[in-house]
Amino acid sequence: MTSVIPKAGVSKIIGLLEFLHDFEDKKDADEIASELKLDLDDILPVIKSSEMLDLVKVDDGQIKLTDLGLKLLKQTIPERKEYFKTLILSKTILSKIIKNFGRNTVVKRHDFIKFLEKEVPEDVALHFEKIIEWGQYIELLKYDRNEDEIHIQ
Amino acid sequence: MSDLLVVKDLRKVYETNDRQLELFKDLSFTMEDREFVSIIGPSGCGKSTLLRLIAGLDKPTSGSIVFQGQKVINENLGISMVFQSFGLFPWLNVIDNVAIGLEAKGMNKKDRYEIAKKYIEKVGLDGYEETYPSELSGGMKQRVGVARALAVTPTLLCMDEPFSALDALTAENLREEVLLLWEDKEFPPDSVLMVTHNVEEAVYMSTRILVLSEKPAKLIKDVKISLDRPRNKKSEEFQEYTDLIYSCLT
Amino acid sequence: MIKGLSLIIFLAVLITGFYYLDITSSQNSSPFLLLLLTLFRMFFALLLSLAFGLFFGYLAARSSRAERLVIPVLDILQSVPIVGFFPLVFVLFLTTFPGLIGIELSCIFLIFTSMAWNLAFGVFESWKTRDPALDEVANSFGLTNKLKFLKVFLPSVSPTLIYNSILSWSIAWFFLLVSEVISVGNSTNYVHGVGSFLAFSAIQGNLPNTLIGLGLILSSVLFIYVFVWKPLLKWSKSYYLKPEKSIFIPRYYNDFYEFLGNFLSEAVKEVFEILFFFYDIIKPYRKKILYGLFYILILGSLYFVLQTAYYLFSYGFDSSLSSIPLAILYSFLRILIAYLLSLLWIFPVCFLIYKYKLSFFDVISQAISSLPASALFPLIALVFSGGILSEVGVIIMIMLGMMWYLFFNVLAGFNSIPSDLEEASKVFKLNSFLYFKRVLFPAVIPSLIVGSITAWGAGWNALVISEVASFGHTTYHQLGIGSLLVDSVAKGSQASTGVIIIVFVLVVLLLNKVVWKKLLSHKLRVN
Repeated sequence: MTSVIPKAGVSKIIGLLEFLHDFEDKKDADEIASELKLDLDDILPVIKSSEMLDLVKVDDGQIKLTDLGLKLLKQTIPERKEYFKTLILSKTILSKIIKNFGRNTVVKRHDFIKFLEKEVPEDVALHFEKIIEWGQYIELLKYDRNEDEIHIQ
Repeated sequence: MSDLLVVKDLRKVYETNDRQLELFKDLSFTMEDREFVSIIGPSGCGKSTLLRLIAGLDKPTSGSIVFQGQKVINENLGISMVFQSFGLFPWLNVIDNVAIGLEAKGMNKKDRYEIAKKYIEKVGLDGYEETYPSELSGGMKQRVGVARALAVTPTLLCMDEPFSALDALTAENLREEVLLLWEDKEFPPDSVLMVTHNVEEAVYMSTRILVLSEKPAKLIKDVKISLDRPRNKKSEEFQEYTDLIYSCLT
Repeated sequence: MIKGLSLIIFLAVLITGFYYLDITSSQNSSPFLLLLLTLFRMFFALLLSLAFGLFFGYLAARSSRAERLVIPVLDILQSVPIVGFFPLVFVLFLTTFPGLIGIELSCIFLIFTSMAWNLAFGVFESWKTRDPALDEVANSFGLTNKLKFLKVFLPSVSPTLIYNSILSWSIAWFFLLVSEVISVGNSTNYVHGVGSFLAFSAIQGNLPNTLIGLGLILSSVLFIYVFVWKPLLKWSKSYYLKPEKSIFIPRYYNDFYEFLGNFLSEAVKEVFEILFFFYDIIKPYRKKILYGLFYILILGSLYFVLQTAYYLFSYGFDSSLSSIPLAILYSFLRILIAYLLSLLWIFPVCFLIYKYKLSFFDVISQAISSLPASALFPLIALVFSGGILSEVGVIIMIMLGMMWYLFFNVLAGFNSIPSDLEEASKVFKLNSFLYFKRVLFPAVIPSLIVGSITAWGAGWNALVISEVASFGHTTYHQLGIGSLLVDSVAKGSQASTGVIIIVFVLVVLLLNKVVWKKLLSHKLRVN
């Protein structure tokens, strides 16, 4: 499975994990949606993102909390961030970005997008946005809008 | 344990255009150290106003509010607040927002940035110090609001429907984080007073719930929640509490 | 404190430099030098206007008692045509201060009267519509009044200050010729600047000089737009919107302006801290001083009105006063024709821009509209002279003064048509007539009304300098309330001037209240 970048953000992912935890760590997707009064469109990206990071397992429409997910819930807030750093670096395109551009460097957005166009099937703009958001969260990337550059730390 | 907060015979009347709106009358309750108290009631019953009276942002028509043995007159600096609409200053970045309370106290830049950084880290926003609120999601904005309220090391943290402007999942996340912060003995807050209209949220988070009626609001019930943490929303005891509160409200 | 003090010192140096240049200049000085003098003058007037706007806008927004007084007064002052201030200026400055200082003060004051009102309204509206939660936040953290002013009030009104400064600056350009040459009674006083240069060149019929003057004005407008207004606008929006990358802007441009912007905002804050320091000293007497100033203002205006009345009764009516009703009618018709003609071209052009998404037109019109049309008036007088042509000339001048307000508002109205309305009309196959009637017009009308209010205000102002215009031997003089005013001021008849001003203001305010405000509230209710 091509895991590029989670489309949902940290808060929603942890929110989903918390929610699952109330139900003995597993629930059907449609039940989750109806309990939280959310559209399927709202909940599916969160489920997919959590799955990408190995925090839940999807089995025939049923969403189950993994051990990793359970562990994450028991951490303090700073500790969770460390976990996410490792997960994002290992399970998403961010590792490829580091491999390609290196660390402690500055990349023009133009070149960054070119690289993405090779790696990503479609919707490059959205992927770029999410990569920058996650990159900033794990303190790896910083996007300078004025200069249109990405700083890799 | 001495009383942290004593509210006695509180009455608030709003005068608008020659109509008199009585929000509450003869409202009394006390709060002790290290409690997590939720105030719940139907919309418009004046619970937000009550919170503002306690925080010193508004004055009661009659009655008294005594905090740590001292009468509350103006804004009380042992109390700080988290707002429903986040209330971040759009022209200040995260660290300047978090440090604003310290700046008001006259602290110099170096010291207040040091303290602010500590709380920014505590809410998981390290790396966002120079970011502006317009670039943050709702959940992150509220985290800034919380960090800002805690940076002044309040004895009591007041929260006015802090999660109602967030989506369901983010709210779940933030509730958990606020509880973690409260339970951390090394950091403020020690005591929390929260206004909410979400019964489940109140039962999940609080040690005690004050149920208010329609205006003029009266204290219908004072419920002590004795559930072990972490609380299970699907357990029978939890449901009993929520049922009890709902029946009081209807 | 260093930044604040350096800013103050810089301003002091600027003032001394300006004064020195002023005394050593003459009408034969290099036109470029004259341009510089004019720019200095406008800059000082802008600073005064900013202070005025901040003070009164804040006052009116904070206390409802002040609001009930300040806002109507500002409304009236806004409707007084600039020429109407000449007698006041004469009394206040020209006869009180000797020589150059008096004239300079008069000129700066006149420029101030074209800049200050919209700044005050802007601050007032902006502060009234602010996010109320921020007040609570400030109070909950115990922010002092000083901190609230510096950290909450100033930043939140900065965008409106910048936007209105740009507007004020272009309005000031529009009236520049009239501000730098003040004819009251037998005395003609003028300052050395590009405005008077242009005015005299026109009177002398000196075409080359006129064109030079025009060229200088146009290039300074463009220069300031690129190097001052654009970066300020970008900075002012930066907190509220996610910043976008602007193409073709080099790195050093951004870095320089970021540095300058930060330095200036720090410096301004420090200047205010110094002011606060002095304010704290006079604080115990604050209320008394405020009431004192206020009473002086009321008494002054009463004095002016009473003096006019006295002259009226002691000298009787000037013969020109009998022509007031006719003059108003003519002026009103002129503006009406100019208004309708403007709409005639604006509607189709805006529709085309909207339909075919011609965004470059947007940029072009922004550039053209920032150029002061009044600089062209002498040339227009030259071209359209004699009989009916003069009328045409006046109407053209009025159009030039009003149409951009209409244009930009109508365009905004078109752009505000929600896309689902567009799709719905396609789905239901509305023919063109129905489309115009049910979709287009209703969507555009509110913006049209708002634009019309400002356009008519600008129209009345433009009247005053267009009904009498001259180039060399070619002068035209059309009967209208504007020319009536100019004449009576030139004659020095206090009474007539006073009456004409009062009538003028009443007509403008009446039209506003009876026509425009009613239309606006009706439309808002319907929507």
